[in-house]
Amino acid sequence: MTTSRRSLLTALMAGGLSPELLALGLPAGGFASDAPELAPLQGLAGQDLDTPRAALEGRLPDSLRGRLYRNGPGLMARAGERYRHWFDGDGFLQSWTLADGQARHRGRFVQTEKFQAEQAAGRFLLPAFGTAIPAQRPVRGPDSVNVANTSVLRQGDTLYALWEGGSAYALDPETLATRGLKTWAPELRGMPFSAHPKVEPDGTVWNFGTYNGRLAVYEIDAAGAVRRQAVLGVRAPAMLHDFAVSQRYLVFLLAPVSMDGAAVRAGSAMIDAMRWAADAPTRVLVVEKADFSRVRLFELPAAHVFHFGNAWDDGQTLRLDYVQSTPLPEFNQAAQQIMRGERTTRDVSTPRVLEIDLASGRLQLASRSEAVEFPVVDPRVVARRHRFVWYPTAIDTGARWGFNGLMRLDIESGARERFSFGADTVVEEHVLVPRPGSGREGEGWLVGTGYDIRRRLSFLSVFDALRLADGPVARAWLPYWVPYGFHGRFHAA
Amino acid sequence: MKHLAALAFAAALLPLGSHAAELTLHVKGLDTSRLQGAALMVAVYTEPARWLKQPQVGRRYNLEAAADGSFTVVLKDLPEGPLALSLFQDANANGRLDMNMMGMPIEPYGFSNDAAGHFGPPKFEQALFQPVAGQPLTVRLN
Repeated sequence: MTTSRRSLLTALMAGGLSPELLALGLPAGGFASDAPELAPLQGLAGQDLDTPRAALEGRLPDSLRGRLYRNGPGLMARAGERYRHWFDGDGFLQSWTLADGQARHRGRFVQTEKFQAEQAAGRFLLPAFGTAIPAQRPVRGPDSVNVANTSVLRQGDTLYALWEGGSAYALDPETLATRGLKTWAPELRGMPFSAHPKVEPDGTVWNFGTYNGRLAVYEIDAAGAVRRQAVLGVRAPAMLHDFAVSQRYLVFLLAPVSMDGAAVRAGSAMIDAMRWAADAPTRVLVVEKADFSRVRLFELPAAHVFHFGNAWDDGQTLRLDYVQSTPLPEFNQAAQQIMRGERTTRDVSTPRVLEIDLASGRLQLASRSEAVEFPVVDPRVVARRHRFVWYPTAIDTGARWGFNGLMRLDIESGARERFSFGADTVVEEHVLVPRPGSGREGEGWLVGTGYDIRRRLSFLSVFDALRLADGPVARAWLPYWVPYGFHGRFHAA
Repeated sequence: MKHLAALAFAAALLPLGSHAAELTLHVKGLDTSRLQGAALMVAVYTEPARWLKQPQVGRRYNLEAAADGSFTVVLKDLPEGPLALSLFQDANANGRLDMNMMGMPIEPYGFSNDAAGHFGPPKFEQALFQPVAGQPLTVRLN
């Protein structure tokens, strides 16, 4: 018996963990869960995944052709050390290629500088957003610790893996091979490019980035050329995840989150150095698209928001919808609990519609109580008047973590349509894919992913977006599970 | 004219000075996509009070031949004793370490001992080293 086999057996008998055990892909240190729905948060070991033909249930629509790209944190531990926060995981890019009634799956880790160095070393070498790992390589800026794990953008023959605080990573849209850090223009090298760019129907891309209290905005054309860029004269919070774009405006909700610089210098993780001022307002920042120097600020009671659906304005009234999260400290606590395999208290992120009378400055906020996140709209209505928002939602999930259904909300009438997969499924973001040749908002499919807790397998599901209650028209099953992701986009073939 | 002559005289004298030292510098991690017209800027410091403000010695080297991302140069006429070096790849040869709109450096840079700060430059002491005759110094830029 070799030494390594003996120590493996010793570790097994002792019920403990060793590097050998970790090398076998067994659960990494600190994750021992009684909550089976959290199992995919164990993460992968950095490997590629491929399924040329996923097993189909139902029938994929003939005219649904293209590729769903999804991104999310895929690697959670190295050498027995586990990230503490869900946002820390290294970016795992997946594509689901739908054509000729078949579904092909591919998964590749984004080869960030951090991932490559740590993969070679077999251990973590750099601090993560929520885990204070001492730097063993120079940290020169956000891109030194960029994990490219949040969302995607496709432009021409380039796929981008997006993070929040640093540059986009360019990838091959077919093979998912990493090409490298994206520099949109020489003077924009290293600039933060958020994971929530908004793409108007004409292909115009709006995005922003924050760093050290500064907020930059970008307008990029459909070919990837930067039309305009500016650093706004408004102090940005320490965390800003998403925004909304209407016909005339860019709208930001600036939550009262500041960064304790002394804590960061003392070696604290970024997330632990963020301070939430519950008594301070969330500022509503409205920026004119035509002139970035023309900004207006309004105030709401402290609120923390990750995601927006959409916005539209008629010059007088600006209307936007979003999902209000729990205050940042509570959110972070939950995002750390699930990384330890622990269930959280009830998920309480819920829909909002905010109407701003631009003349009087009067704000009107409508709230709903459904537990939702990851809102999407029809890509044809981005920055236009819209009616529908789709969300994963939790329907009678009890103590269990995660969403198990989907909801379509009519924000004009308040009517909703829902579907529940039941207790044993975790539902992730589903994006709207317009049906070719259709013109009406919502005509198309809702395409996304999920995890079957009993079968321990991940799947892709396809719904008629205007008939959610009918259930999925098709599901494609992988012969394995994949880690939970954050966001995706569909690129029609 | 008088000043130039004085300068030339001083320069001619320096190599003869008993306190001059030389150091072979290996630079790695150059951005090979930005070598056209690029220069390596080297600043040498001996006093903490002047760290990253007023170098004792400043040098500039053409980088166009550094196609494999590394570059070696012999630094002559250096002050004796412990030194601290800061280096950067001046990709557009404008003589400055360029910053983006957020104030982040956007040209590769590095320090002796591969010293690194935490969200900022390293301290003088972190970059300080004692040159040893015949022992090259390697600095990785990033």
